[in-house]
Amino acid sequence: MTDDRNAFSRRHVLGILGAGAAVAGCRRGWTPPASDPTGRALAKPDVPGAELYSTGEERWFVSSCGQCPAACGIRVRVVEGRAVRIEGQPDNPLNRGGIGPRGLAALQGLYDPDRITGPLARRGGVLVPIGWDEALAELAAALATLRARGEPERLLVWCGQERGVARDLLLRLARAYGTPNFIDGRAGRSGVLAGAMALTAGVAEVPVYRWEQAGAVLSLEAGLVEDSCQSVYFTRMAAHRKRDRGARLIHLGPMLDLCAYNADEWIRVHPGTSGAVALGIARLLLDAGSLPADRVDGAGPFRDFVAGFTPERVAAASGVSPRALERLATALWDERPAFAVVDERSVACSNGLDTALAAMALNAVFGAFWVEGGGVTAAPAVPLRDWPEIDLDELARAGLARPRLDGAERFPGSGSVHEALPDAILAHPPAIALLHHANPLFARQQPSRWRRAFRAIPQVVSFSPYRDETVDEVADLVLPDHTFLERWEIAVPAPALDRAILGVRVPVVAPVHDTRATGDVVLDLAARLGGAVADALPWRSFRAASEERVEVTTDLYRDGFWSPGAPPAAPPLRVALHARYAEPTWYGDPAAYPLRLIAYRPLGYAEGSGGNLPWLRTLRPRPGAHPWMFAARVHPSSAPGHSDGELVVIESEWGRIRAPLQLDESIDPGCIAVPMGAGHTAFGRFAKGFGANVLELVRPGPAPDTGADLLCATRVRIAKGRAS
Amino acid sequence: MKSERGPSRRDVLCASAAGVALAAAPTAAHATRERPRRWGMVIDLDRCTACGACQIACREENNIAPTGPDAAHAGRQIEWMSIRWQEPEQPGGQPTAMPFPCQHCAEAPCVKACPVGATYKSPNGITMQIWERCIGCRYCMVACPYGRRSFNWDEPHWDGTLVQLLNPDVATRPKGVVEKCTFCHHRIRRAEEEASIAGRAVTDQDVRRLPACAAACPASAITFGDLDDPDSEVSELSRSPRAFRLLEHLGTDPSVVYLKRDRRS
Repeated sequence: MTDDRNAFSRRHVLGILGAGAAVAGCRRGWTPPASDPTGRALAKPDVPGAELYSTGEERWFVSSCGQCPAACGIRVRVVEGRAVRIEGQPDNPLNRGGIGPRGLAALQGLYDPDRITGPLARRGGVLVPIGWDEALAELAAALATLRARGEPERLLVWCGQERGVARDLLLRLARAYGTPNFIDGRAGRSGVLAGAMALTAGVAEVPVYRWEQAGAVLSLEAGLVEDSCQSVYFTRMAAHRKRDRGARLIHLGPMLDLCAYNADEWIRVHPGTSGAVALGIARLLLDAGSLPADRVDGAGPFRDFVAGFTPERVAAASGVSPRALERLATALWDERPAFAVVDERSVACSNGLDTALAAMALNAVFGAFWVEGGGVTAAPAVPLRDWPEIDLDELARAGLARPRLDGAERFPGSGSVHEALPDAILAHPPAIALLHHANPLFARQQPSRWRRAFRAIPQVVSFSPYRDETVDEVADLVLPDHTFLERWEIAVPAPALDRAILGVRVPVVAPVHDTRATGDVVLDLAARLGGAVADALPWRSFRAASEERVEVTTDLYRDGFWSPGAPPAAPPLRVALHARYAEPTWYGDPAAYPLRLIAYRPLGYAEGSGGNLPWLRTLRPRPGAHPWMFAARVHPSSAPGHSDGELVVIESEWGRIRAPLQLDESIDPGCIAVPMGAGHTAFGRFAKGFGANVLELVRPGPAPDTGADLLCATRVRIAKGRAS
Repeated sequence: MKSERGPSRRDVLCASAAGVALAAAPTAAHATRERPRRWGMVIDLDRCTACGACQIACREENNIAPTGPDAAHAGRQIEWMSIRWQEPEQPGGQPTAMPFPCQHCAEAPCVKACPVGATYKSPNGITMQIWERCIGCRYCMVACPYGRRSFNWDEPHWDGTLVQLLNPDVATRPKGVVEKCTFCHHRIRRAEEEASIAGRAVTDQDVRRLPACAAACPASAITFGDLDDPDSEVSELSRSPRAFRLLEHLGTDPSVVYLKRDRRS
């Protein structure tokens, strides 16, 4: 299109109209101009900055999604400097062109009207804007003072991510500074899965599954397509499995969720008892055959142990009838290659590790480990080179030798124990806390407990781009990060495939606000601190630090991902079976609190970090759901005297919330299912005040054996009336 | 990162078009002469996992005005595409999730009901709505047996910086008019323009994942194409024994074909 043609284009005229609208006072949002009742129907948005463009310039950027740990490949359409569309990247082996609802809604996160627009500092109890230089100088001075006092361990660094270069950079900062108190996202239940793999196969990585050639898959209460870290990949697998006659999926679970809906057969079980079903199946199969002794350790004790899992015992524990159990065992054996799948939802009860170990034991019975067609393997190592070893100074060595606040040493493999922190913080408050991708005042059990704990920390620093509960209530300094559409980053996807994959994120638009990538901020802080800390983080930018760890190729930028072609060679392997299983524990007096609480991450929302994306509130992930719905689901027989839609109080020994009731015959009687992600008291206009936070009900404290969170271990009751 | 100003893809395409037109006008005109089409969609319920990506993609692409909880609870949500849960046919059976756009009926009751010609059938089979002609009587909403039309009860509004995510290809709709799915006709038009510039007709491959819902679907459950072309993928799929159309007995002749869910026992 030539400039002459542009001079009188429709776009140009509309731009002028738009400018008029801006003058008329539309800066606080936009409504189509009302002055022209006919023309307004065709009005295009008044976009700040659009006057810089005269060609309707359009570009597509290849990048990786950052809305959840899956890191799907995406293409972003940018018109006149604005990101207006996200689509899946067809070549990416994770998502093959598809994309989930949460990834699509990333634009609402980018352009969230309540984003933090620049650094903030709390002055007189109120957060006020300050400049970047002042903010960084203030924090660097505080960090330098703390270190000079010889108390580097009183720095708490919390990164909500489990993996990725930003997480590694924060860990490096913590080590070079000299604090052992680095908390990461592994305390979530994926640590339990990795623990089960370590005990069974000797590889401390989460299991990944080869779906394509499997004949049958048994899901032990897994979330898969609804709330797993790789829901888009599993959605693709589910479609392939169903239509292309891939593996037959049998799902054990307490309620109709998207995994149950997409299974070929859904068998309702009591929550936390699918491990008993797996052991019952293992018993039946072992009765008919034997384990390959050359590859399995502990076969004898395991066989003796599962002999106790008779169909009658399994039926009493789980609700699965002996006949159904036998049919299940036969079907799975006949349709081999078969395997049992567990994910984070599977291990939400107190016996999470036992459930994961039962799945792995059943996989050993199936001979599914490291089998090419349809088996289980460990997530491959991330193909990132290590940075040079840190040259620790005396202060850092002394600090790192001190015990961790969360006592993670007691739980090998857990990495961090979130639930031990509030009490530990109150007992020995850190002087400074850095929070990246963490909003403990909302997303952890008993938020009031976390509020008390963080108020005891003199300087809380958040890198959140959004004004979440932690920022709003306790942050003393806010150094807002870019969103993933504004920053450069190497993405390390949550494991799904049996081959390693890396993604790249590129800035597709100029930063909407005065924000900075946290990686760059960390490097800036290190430089200001000087000495050994600066030496450990010498890079001029986060991008330079990241590029030192990868083979930078044109492919990486052209395709947005990089993956070695062939799967890694199978390691020489013996698997160890563990003779252990415990029934799930439900805390609370069963007489006073008769219902078992299932707190679950609903489609698209995770633990609440999607609350500012109103598009997601329009999803209907189950029958009876409608837009902007928040409800507690309970079987009618478990709520006598209550009616559908009634507003009730749900109480546990630890808290109470108010929620509408949805009577649902699909849910296991004796249970009540409440979605997470609602009940924000901050986090912007779309999140605040909608629904209630189920975590108010959940018993605090870590799982006694693994240190993981216990989302499903609390007894509750429902009552009419309003919460006081 | 804002892109540098410079010749855009559009510029290059336009320049190419001019070149093509000059060099081979008669051939190109012949090659690009579009025969009548009937755009249609096939939705495989066996592939659909009810994730709702189609619904969000539609909102994003078509600038569908956000409505909050109050409007939603009053039944005033604006939706062109959404997941509808169908009750089981047999007692004890499972419900079925159905992605549910406008059915683009060949004999569209809404078209017959509109007193001002705001809704009409385009030659390619799409039921279109001219927003500025609509008088908001909502007769079409009453006439539509599928309930796939939405009325703008309020002036649409995008708070603050949210305005920046609006798609410049799609006009927003004002208060007082009815709106509906267009099969992303702006994307179809663009594909036709690009094919025309390249001197060829639109192929099945160009359009099979063209509408925003089909492009987003991670399960590849939605296929788009020309129902009048016997060789197109949608035609082939619509001849499946699993194929059915909604409320066909009303004589609406919908252009959306569903493939029945086929659970293994």
